[in-house]
Parts: sequence; C-alpha cells; structure tokens
Amino acid sequence: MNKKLLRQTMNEWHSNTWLIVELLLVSVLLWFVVDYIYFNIATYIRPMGFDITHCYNIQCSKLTPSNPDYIPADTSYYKDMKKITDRLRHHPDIEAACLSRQAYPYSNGGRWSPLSYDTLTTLRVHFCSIEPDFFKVFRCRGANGETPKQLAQILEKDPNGFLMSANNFKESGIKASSLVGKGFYFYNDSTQRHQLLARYEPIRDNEFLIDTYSRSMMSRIDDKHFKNRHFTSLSISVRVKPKHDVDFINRLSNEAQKSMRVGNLYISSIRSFSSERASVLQTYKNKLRNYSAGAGFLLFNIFLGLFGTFWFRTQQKRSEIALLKVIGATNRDIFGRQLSEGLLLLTIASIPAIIIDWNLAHAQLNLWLNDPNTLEPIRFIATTFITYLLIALTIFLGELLPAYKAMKLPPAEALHDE
Amino acid sequence: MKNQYFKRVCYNLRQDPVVTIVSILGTALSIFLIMIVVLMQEIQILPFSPESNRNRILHGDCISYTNANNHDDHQDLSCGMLSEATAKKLYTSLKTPEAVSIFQYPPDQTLISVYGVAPFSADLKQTDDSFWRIFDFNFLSGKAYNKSDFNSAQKKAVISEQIARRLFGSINVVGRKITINHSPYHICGVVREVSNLAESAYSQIWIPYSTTDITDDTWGAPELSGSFSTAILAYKKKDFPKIKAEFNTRSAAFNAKLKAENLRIIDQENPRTQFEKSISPYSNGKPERNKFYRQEAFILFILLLIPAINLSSMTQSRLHRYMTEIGIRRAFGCHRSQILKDIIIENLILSTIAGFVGLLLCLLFAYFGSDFIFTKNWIEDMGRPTVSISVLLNPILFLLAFLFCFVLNLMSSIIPAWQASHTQIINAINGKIH
Amino acid sequence: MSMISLSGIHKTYRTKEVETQALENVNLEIEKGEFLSVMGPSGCGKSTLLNIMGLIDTPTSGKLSINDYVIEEMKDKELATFRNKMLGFIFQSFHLIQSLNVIDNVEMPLTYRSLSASERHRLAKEALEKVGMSHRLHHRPNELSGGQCQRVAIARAIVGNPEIILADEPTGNLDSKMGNEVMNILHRLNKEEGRTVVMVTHNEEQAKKTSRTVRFFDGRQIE
Repeated sequence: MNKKLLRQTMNEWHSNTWLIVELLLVSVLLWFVVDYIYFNIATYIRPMGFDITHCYNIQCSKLTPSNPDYIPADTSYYKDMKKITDRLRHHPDIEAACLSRQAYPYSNGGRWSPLSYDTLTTLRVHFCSIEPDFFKVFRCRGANGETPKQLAQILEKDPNGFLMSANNFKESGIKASSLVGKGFYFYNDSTQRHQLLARYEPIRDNEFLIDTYSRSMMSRIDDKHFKNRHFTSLSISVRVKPKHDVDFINRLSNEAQKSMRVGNLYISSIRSFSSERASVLQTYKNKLRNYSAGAGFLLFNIFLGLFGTFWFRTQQKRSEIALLKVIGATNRDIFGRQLSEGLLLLTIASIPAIIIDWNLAHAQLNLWLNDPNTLEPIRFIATTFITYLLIALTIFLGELLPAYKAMKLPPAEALHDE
Repeated sequence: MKNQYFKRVCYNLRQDPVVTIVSILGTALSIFLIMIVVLMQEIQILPFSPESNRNRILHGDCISYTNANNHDDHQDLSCGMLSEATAKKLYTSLKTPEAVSIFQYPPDQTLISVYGVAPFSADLKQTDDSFWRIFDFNFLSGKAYNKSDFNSAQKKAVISEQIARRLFGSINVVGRKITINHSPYHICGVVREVSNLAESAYSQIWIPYSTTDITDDTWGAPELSGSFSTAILAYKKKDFPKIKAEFNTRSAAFNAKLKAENLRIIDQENPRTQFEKSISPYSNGKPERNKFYRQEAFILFILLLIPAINLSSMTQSRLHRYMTEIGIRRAFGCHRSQILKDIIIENLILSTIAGFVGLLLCLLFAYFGSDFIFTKNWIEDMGRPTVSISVLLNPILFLLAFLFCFVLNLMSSIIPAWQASHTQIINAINGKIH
Repeated sequence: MSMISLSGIHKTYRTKEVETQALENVNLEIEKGEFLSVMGPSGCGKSTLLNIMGLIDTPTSGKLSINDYVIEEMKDKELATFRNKMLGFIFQSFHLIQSLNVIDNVEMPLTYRSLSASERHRLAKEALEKVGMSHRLHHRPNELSGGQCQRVAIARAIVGNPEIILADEPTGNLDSKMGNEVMNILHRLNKEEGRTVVMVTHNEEQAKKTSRTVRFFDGRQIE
C-alpha cells in the first residue's frame, strides 16, 4: 500500500513541488531555531556553582561635602565598608556577609586578567577580590568536595594566596591537582607570585555563559591597590537566615538609616539576587523568546499550508477517494492514507534538509553564545530529530480535518458529481 | 470593469472559504510579524516624548583608548563613559550644534526619603541645565532647574509623577523637601512618567550634577573616563556631517595632547545618530551597519518567503478551479498579459484584506502585549515601560505594511499566474495545466 | 476567396510513450457565408479541427489562414485581438463563467475592446434579444436551464459581431426541442446576418440542413 502511495506521490510530484520546497526550507530554518533553543537550554541547565536563595546585594553611597553630616576627616571608604560589612555579619537576621569587588554572581561586568604559571597561561580569567566569607554566602564548593566553610578557612590562612575555578587549564593536559601549591602571577606581572591554595567548582556569572567564559579566580580583598573614590566597585553580599527572610529589604532599609552609617558611607541600595538575576537574564530571555516566536511562526505556516492544500486536494480527489471506498477501503484506510502522504513528503524533504543542516553546522553558522563546538553528534542528532518531530506533528494536525472530511465522503455522491 | 473584478473576487472567495481563510491568515500573520520586527527596530529610533528630537540628536557616549604604540583597535583597550573634562573638551565646546548636554548615564540607584515615608530606592540622573533644552519633558507642575541654578549648585530636583504620588500623594509638590542620598533637595518640578525605552532621558529623579561630587568619580590616566554621556542637538539634521567633522578636528587635537601620555583615542564613530547607536553591539564598538542590514534583510526575506510559498501553493490550487474560465477568456480575446494582470490584481485584493487584518493584529498586540515585546530591565516595584499608541500609529508603518503586502502578493502569484497564462487555451478549457 | 483556408494541417499529441495522430494532412477551404457541418465518429479529430480553426490550439504542422491573415506569423497579442474581433466560439458544455451573471457573461468579450460601459451594455442587450434571453439579464448560470445557458453562450459568441462562428456540438447537451431552437438561431445568424458558421455535430438531421458537410475518420477527411 505504501509503495503504491510512494509511486502515486512520485507521479504527482509536480503538484507536490511547492510543498516539498516549503518543507525543505522550513526544515532547515526550524533546525536552526531548534538548535539555538536546544543549545541555550543545555547551557542554562548546567550547574551554576553557587546558590543565591535568600541572598541580597547591598551597595553604598557617600555623602557629598555639601551635606551637613559630611566628615572631612573620613579618608578610607574601604575601611568604612568593611565596618558596615562587619555590622551586617553580626545582624541577627544574617547568616553570612562578605565584602567583594566585582565578584558577585550576575554582576555582568568585572575585571579580567591573564593567569600564568611557568609556561602556562590562560588569557582571560575573571579576577575577583573577596573576603573569605564569600564562599559561605554563596555556598560554593571545592573541586575536591571542600565545604564553603573550608574554602573560607583556606583563603583566611594565606592572605597572599588565591583560589581558582576547576575549569582553568583544562586543555593543557596537566593534572589540575598538581597545580595546587604552585606560584602563579596575574596581570602579566611576574614579579608578584601568589600560591594556588585550592580549586573550587566553576562559578558561572549567569545561566547563558559557556564554560570558556566562566573561568574565574578569587583572591583576598585588601585596600592596597584600591583608590578611595572607586568604592562604588565594592559591594556587600549577604545571606539571610531562611526564617528571617520576610520583608528583609524594607526592614533593613529602615534600620540602615540609623545603625548602618559609617563615616560618610551609608547603604543606598538593597536588592535581592533574584532581582539582579532577572535583570541580567532579561536580554537573553528576550532573544530566546523571539527565536521561539520565529519557530512558532514557521510551524504555523506549515500548518496553514498543509491544511489548505490537503483540504483542497480532498475536494479535487473526491472521485478517487470514492473509488477507493467502492473497491473496499475502510474509513481508517482513507484517513491513514491522507496522513501518510504528508509524512512521506516530509521525509523526502528531510533528506536534503539534513545534509544542508550538517553543512551549516560544519561551517559554524550556528555559533551560539560563542561556543565553537557547533557539530557535536548528540546535539546534531537530537536537534534534527526534534525538528522532524515538530514538523511531523504539525503536518498531522494540519491534515486531521481534511483527512476526516475525506473519510466521511459518501462515495456515490462523489462519483455522481464526476 | 473594476466592478467585475470585485464581483468575481468576492464570488471566488466565498466559493471556497477554507482556502480563502487560510490564504488571508497566512498573509496576515506574515504581515503581523514583519510589522512587529519593524516596530521593535523602530521603537529604538522613533521620536517620542521626552526624546521627540531624536532626529536631530547625536550621542557622544563613551571613550575608548589604548596605548599609543598599540595599533590594534580591538585588543588591550579601555573604555568607559566620559569624564566631565573629556566631555567638555570634545563635545561641549562644539560650535555648530544648537545645544550640548552632559548627563550621567546610566542613572544611579539612590535612596530617597521624606519625613514620614519609608525610604526607598529610585533611579537618579545627574544632569546639566542644557539637558532640559534637548529633551522635551512633559511638566505636570513646576519647571526644570536653569543655568543659574546649575552654576550656583542649587539643590533642586525634578521628580517623576509616580515618585511624587508615592511620597506625597499628589503632583502639586513644588517647593517641598526631599532627601536624596541623605542630602536635602527642593522639588522644582514634576514630570510625566518617562518610559525607560527613552534611554538617554530616562530616570525617575533628575538633579544638577553640580550639587554632588560626581565629577570626581573618574579613572583612567589622565582622568579620561567618568560617569557621563552627552547629547548633541543640531539645528537641523543636515548639520550632522558638519558636527561630526568639527568633532573629528577636536578629537585629533585631543589625541595630539594625549600622545605625551602615551595614549590614543580609538575612533568609534562618535558622535552617533540614534540609529547608529541602536545597531552598535556595545557602547564601545563601532556601529555594525552591514551586519544589521544583512540580519534584517534575512529575517524579512524569510518572513515573506515562507508564506509566499504557502500562498503559491494555495493560488495554484485555486487556479485549477478557474482554469476553464481563463481558457474561455483567452478564447474570446483576452491577452496573456491581461490574464496575468487579472490574477495579480485578485491576489492584490486578497493581500490588501490580509494586510488590514495583519496590521490590526499588530496594533492590538503592540498595545496590549507591549510588555512582551518591549521589555527592558526595570526595577520590579516601579513602573513598567510603556509605549503610547501614538507611537504605533505611524503612517510610515501603514505604508510599509501595504508595501510588504504587495511584495508578498507578487511573490506568491507570479509563478502560478505565468503558468496559467501560458497554457494552451484548449488545455485550459479542459482543466489541464500542461 | 476563402474565409478560412487550411492546408497540410497535421496535429499530433505526444506523450512519453504514446503518439496520437489527431489530424493528418487536412486540406480544407471554407467560403464566406457558408454553414459547414463537420461530422465523424468519436475521436476522429473534428473537435481538434475546430479548435485549430478557432486559434485555441496549434497544429503540429501545416498552414492556416483566416481572411487572408496567415496565422503562424501572428504573435499572442495579435492572435488575441483576432480571436476577439473575428471569431465567436460556442462550446458543447456552454462554459459560462459561474461567478458572473448573464449580462456580464455576454459583455465579457467586449471588455477587451475599448468601449464605454454603456456601449457594452447596449450591445450585450442586443445580442441577448437576438437569442431571446433579454428577460434573464441578472440571473446566474446555475439558475438557468441547459437551453437557456446555450443561448446565452451564443449571445456571448456574437456580441462582438464576429465574422466566423465556431460551434462545437452546440446541441449535444440539449433535448430535441431546445436543440431545434438553437439551430434556428444559428441558421438565422448565417442567412440573415451573413456570418460564416462551422459546426461540429453528430446529428445527421441537423447536418443535412446546412450548406455543406465534411466527414472525418481517424483524423483524415473522407468526404
């Protein structure tokens, strides 16, 4: 039966040309979109390396000289912020607090430095200056299973040392654990060596960053290389005790007016990390949404196209269908036949489509989020399969009504018209 | 004769409602999406209050610099917003424009409070007095701070409607006291809420930057970067090349001085028009015109092509039906070109109906679903970005919609029409295509 | 001088596997004012002959000239104008345009000439009066009987005042009464208005009443 269908479809190839062309085009475009969404989702669900629940980000501002409370003698804003951090640390609602410079997750910015040891160099590592309690606030874990507390203690012990994420120097082939204890240097300044104290699970600044852009290192914050007026690059991150995390921002804002002013500094903004996260992810989510809309559009057009064409065809082929019924085909046969025709066309169109897809991936035209691994077997198979499935489903839906109509055709009437 | 067209078209359309609806829907959807795509791009350059002068404004956003020895514009560079000194040297001193303003960008989050109300964070923008000349805010009460206020560092503040209501429950609050960053200011004006799609003008509170020490917040040697951006208002659009030329002269002179510090400024095609700004990937990159045009062309092409193929197939199906009619007409003396014209016009009518439907969908969606498409970052407890309906009712948008309709129609009917008109007449009468 | 002249006309239909000779070496002269019948069994090529004369099909080889115009040398636009001005075709299945009413159907050939709407309307009404259908101007074809449809088709064929009328089995789908009425109209057009009529028919009776009959068999003229 299917062979006959195939033969008939080939005989009618001319009237099927448009459909096949459309299916081919949509297959390729849809694959593109599916690949985009697949890759973004695959990146999104990878572990972040931190936990931001019940965490808040606090920025400070300073009074201006014209303000009546201004203290001209206050010259170290760094020390002031450290004091504020300390007060927060001892706040009954707060579990952990830390001061850091361009280090917190979703900061969407920061400093970057090369990291070098001997002949090994990575060009671009996120250079974070933190207090050891950073690990406790964000519950980061060590590459060898160290707890946040242990990581904090490791950094506490050696102020000159640093920690780095476990995904650094992956490509070098050197056993990563052998690097611990060695002396590295930053910013191409080989005169200053720092000992690698431990490695931690990679921290991603946001869900849409691939591994290459998620290489970081943490060193102890101090005021040595720090210009006073750049205190705006400092921020305080706190983790609130779960039971106390009720209306935290308002309560702290009120308290901060009275008890959290040190020198000329005061707390000017308190934001939850979930807000920060929402802001940062917005652009990526917008893009995903736009691509999804594009996919929806393509599929809907297929749906319309198939629906219209098969509806019309059913009318045109009334006598043919009637004849089939007369010679003994059941309603189900008719129904199934209609559906098979559409899927057959899709399969025919899919073969050149997959070849084109492969070429596009090979030419790295699907370079999403700057990840150059565009042609991975599992990803390719999954995306082409999903594409096929989506279109097949659409075809099924589009043909449903016309096929049903064909099924219900009274044969005598149809033949009489002829 | 036109009557005949309409009669025939209406009859045919009603003959096969399913095919008609599918054709119209397919076209309408495509038009709808094209309009949304166009709208999303337009919204970045369309003028609306308070950036009604967008067509006359140039932006001088940031500065990129590197070592004088480094000849690679893409490596090892520093970039950031402008310091006041840099802004004055490069922009404020320009003679050609009508006005130049220096203002903080992006706005800061700041703590504001009044007696009796819990303090909360709002967006604060520090500006000069020219700011109010360039951007046309809608003052609901009071007015902006002027040049003498700015020069004497008067602690005056302009606040948005929402802030006024949240603090005082009213908009008639001129003269009232407000604490901004623990400093007392007096409200001098209340403005209508500003959408954060007006990137340059947006804020919730505006104060003169002479009242704070923001000008001390600089870095990069020698104090090239800071927290400011500039907006340049030209007398007319034709002045843009002149302004850019004047800027280049100043930039070259500035560069000459920087050589002594072993630095050079990288040309990022500043100052930029609104359009150029919208197509620059980062503020420190050159506008990527080619990439933009390629992308848009590709998207539009696809949005037109897919429904066109659909419609082609629909048209071909429909043509089967009145093949006979075409044969008869030709038998009675109708030229091929006339047949072609007939089919194209019929599709044009169909496309026009579809165009109206599509446009209507677009307007409804943009109005009720504006959150969905125009989302930008916002503070969750404050207002959401909105677009007034007047922005959407742009006559150019209408014209574009119909232009696309026409192109779509052409793409979808040309091949079937040609086929139909070149079939042997007797075959046409008998309903065969070849 | 002949109105229609065919010499050495061949028509072959070719598909991938089969070649069918519809007409073979047809030579025929038709005088002005003649009423010619073309007869023959099914599939003998008579309709093909009419289609070629009516310029709605092209011969594989041979020469056709109408009113001294050599047809092969004419381009599509010229042919269309020629069809419009010189020929009027009547089909067996009427082939009226369903989406137009009677008066619009009859006006249709005139829309390809530069006439005003009122002029077209007047001529169409005149033609419909000649065939006795002026009382059904605004009806649709599906509201008319077979005989009425054929009369409208005749009106459409004559509205442009063509010199030649080609009728392909005009009474084939009608009962005898209707058939006779139609034949009377055709004879009137031929005798009173001097138009040349070429008619394909199965009906011996009708053929006898025409001025000349030619017979075809297997694509060749035998009489």
